[in-house]
Amino acid sequence: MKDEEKSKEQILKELIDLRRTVVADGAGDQLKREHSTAEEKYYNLFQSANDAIFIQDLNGTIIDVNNKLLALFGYDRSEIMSVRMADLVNAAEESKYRTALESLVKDGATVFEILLRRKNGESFPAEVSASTFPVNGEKVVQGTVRNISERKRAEEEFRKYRKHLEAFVAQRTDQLEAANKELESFAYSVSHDLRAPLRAMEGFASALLEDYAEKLDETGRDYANRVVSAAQHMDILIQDLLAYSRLSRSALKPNAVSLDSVLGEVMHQLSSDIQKRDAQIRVERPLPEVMGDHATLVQVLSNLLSNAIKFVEPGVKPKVNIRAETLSNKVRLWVEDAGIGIPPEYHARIFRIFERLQGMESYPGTGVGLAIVKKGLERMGGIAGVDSVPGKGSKFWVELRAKGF
Amino acid sequence: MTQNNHTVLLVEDDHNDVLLIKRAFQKVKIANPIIVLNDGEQAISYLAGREPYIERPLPVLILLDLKLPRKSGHEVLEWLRQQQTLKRLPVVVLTASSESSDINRAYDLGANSYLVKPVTFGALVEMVKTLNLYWMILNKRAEVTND
Repeated sequence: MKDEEKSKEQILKELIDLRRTVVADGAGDQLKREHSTAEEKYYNLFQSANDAIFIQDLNGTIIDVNNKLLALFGYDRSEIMSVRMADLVNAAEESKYRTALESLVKDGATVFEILLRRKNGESFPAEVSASTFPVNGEKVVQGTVRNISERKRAEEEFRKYRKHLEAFVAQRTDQLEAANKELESFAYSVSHDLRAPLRAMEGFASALLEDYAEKLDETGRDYANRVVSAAQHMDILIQDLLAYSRLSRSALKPNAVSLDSVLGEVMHQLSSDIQKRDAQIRVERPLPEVMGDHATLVQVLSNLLSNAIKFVEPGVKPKVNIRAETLSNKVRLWVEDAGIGIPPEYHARIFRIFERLQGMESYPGTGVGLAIVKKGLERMGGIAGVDSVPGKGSKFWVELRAKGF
Repeated sequence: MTQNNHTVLLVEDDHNDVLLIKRAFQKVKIANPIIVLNDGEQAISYLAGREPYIERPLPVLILLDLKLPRKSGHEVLEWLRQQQTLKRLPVVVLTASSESSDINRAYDLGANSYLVKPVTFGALVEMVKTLNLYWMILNKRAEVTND
C-alpha cells in the first residue's frame, strides 16, 4: 500500500505506535525524521489546526498533543508527556471529567464544558469534544479543546444584564404599585375629606337662607344662593373626578355584554331627566352583544345619552336615535341627536378632561363626562368619536369588539 | 340603664356634620334625644357602660361614621357585633365614603344599613325623614339588655 492511500486512521495508528516507541525510548527528537511523507502531511495538518487537539488512551495517558494545545496549557513538548490528562483538569471538576470519559466510552463521542488548568495553575473554561476510535483492538481518544472564556464572559455579562434588567423592572413595578396605592388613598381622601367642608358650606348657607332670610336683603340672599350652588357644583365635580379616577385604576376584564341591557339600565337611571325634558329616544333594537365591562358601559352610555338630551336649543325637545352597526369583528354604537352640534375644530378637544364648549349658565356641567367615555373605551380596548355639524346635531359613536372576538 | 328609651346615638367627629344632622332632626321634628360621641373609643365606652357612661341610656339607633379618631367605625361595629345582646342594636353607617371596599366591609361586619352623607342640606333632611320613619317608627326592636 502506498503512503498516499493510507487512511487517516491508519496514519494515526502508525503515528500512535511510533509515538509510543519514541516516548518509551525517550528519543522525541528522532520523531520527525522517521515520518513517512503521508504521516508528515497528517502531522502538519494536526499541528497547524486552529484547535488544540489531544490524543489519549482510556486510562488518561497522553499519547500526543498539537502545538496549539501546548500553547493553550503553557507546557513544553518535553513536559507534556509526563503529564496525565487529569492534571489538565481543574481539581474541582475531576468528577465531571470522569463522568465525561465514561459517557465517551459508552457512546463513542461526547461534547462537554469543563474548567481546565494551565501549567501555571490558572483555570479557564473550555468546551471539549472527543470521540473514540479503535487502534490495534484498543480504544484511543482524540479530542479538541476550545477555550470558551470569551463566550463565558459574554454569557456572564448577558446574565448580569438580564438580572439587572429584571431587578430594574421589579423596582419600577413596585414604584408603580406604590404610586397606584397612593392614588387610591388620595382618591379616597378626596371623596371623604374634601366633601366634608362642602357639606358645611352648603348646609350653613341653606340654613342662612331658611332661618335668616328676612334679615338678608336681596343681594345677601343672592350671595347665599351662590354659595349653595357653587358647593353643589363642586360636589358633582368631585363625584365625576372620582368616577374618572376609579375608571383609570380599576382592572377591567372584558366579557360579553348585551348593549340592550346596558341601555335599559341607562334609560332607567336617566328616566326623570328624560321625562322632565320630554325627550324622544328611539332605539333600533335589538342591539348586539359586545366585549366590554357592564358597569363601565353603563357609565359611558349614561354620559353620551345625558349629553344628547342636554345640548339642545332652549325650548327644543331632544330627539335621540340609538343604533348599532356591525363591521366584521367590531360593533359601532351610535348615539345621534338633533341638538346644537359641535364645530369640527373641537371634535378632538371635547374628549379631554375639563374641556367645555358652553357656558355654565346655559349648559351646566363639569367637563368630565366625555373624558369618562374616552377613558372607559380605552380600558375596554375600544375607541370613541364624533361626527357633528353645528346646528344639525351630533353623532357620537363608540366602537368595541363584537362578542366572541 | 334605661329600657324602652328613644335615644339616638350619633358617632361623628365632624362638628359641622353634627350641627347639620341635629338641625335636620329638628326640621323633621324628631323628638328623640341625640347623644353625640366624637370618636370610636368613646362609642365603645358608652355602649359598654364604662366610666363616665355608667348611667347611659341604651340607644334605639346608632348612626355611625366610619372615619373616626382613635377607633374607626368599622372597629366599633366589629366590637359591637361580638357583644352578648348589645349586638342586636341597629347600626346605620352614615359616612362620606362611597368606596365599595368601605361599604362591603361595613356589611361584612354587620351594619344594618349604609348611607352616604349628601352634600345638600335638603337631601339630608329627606334622608333623616326616611330614617325616622323606618328605624324609629316602623322597625320592630329587639330586646337589648346590658351584657
